[in-house]
Amino acid sequence: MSKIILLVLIAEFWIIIGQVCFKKSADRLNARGKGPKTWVLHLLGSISRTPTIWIGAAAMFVGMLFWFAALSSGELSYVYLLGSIQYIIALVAAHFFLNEKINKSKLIGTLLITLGIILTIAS
Amino acid sequence: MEKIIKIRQLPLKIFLLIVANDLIDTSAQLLMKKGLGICELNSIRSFFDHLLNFGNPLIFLFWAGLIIYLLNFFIWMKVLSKVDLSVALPLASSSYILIPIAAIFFLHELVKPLRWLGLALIVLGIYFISGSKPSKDQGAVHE
Repeated sequence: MSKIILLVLIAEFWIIIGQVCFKKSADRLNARGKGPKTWVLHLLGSISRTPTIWIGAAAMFVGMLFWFAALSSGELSYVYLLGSIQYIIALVAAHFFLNEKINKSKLIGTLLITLGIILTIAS
Repeated sequence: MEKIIKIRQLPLKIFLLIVANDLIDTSAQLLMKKGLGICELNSIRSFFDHLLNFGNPLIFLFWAGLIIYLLNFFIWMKVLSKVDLSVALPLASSSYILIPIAAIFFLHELVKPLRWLGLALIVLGIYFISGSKPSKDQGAVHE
C-alpha cells in the first residue's frame, strides 16, 4: 500500500472518531433536555463538563496532522480523491459506535455521493 | 405548533444549517490561509511570534478566521443533535455542488461533461440520503 493511501486512511480514521465523539456529546446534551433558545449557552457550559467533546477535538487534531502530512506528500486532487472514502468509513463507524442503522437509502445515497465526488475531482 | 418544512425525511432547517456550516467552514479556512501568508516554520516559538505579530495587519484575518471556525462548531453540534452522523456528514458534500454551480453562474466557467455527471450523482445521493428514516427520534421533544 502506498504511503499516501495509508496516511489518508489514518487521517480519516481519526477524523471520523472525532465526529463520533461529537455526535455522542450532542446526544448527551439532547438527553438533558434543554430548549433550543438556551442551547448555545447550555453547550458552552457543558463543554467543560463533557469529556467526549475534548476527546473528539483531540482525535480531530490528530486526524488533521495526518491529513496535512498526506497533502504535503501527494498531489492535491489525488489526496482529495482518496479522502472521499470518509463517507463510507463514517457509515460503518456510525453503525458500530452509534447504533445508526444502515438502511437502503443511506447506503445508495452514500455510494452515489462518493462516486459523484470522485468523478467531480477526477474530471 | 409550528409546522416543520421537510425535504423528504429531513427538516429543511437542518439541511440549511448543514450547508451554512460547510460554507462558513470553507470561508474560515480561506481567511486563515490568507492571514497566515507565507511563514517559515523554523520553530514553534517563531510560529507563535508570527501569529501574535499584530503589526502585520494580515494576521487579523487569521484570527477572524479562527474565531469563525470555532463558532461554526456550535452549528455543527446543533445539526448532530437532530440527525444521524451518517446523514449529516454526506449531506455536507452539498457544497461540492453549490460551489461549482455558483462558479458556472457567476464566473461563467465551462464544465466538462464528466463533471456534470459527478454533480448529478451527488444530487441523486443527497435525494436518497434525505429520504432515510432517522435511527432515533432525535430531539423531536424540543421542536
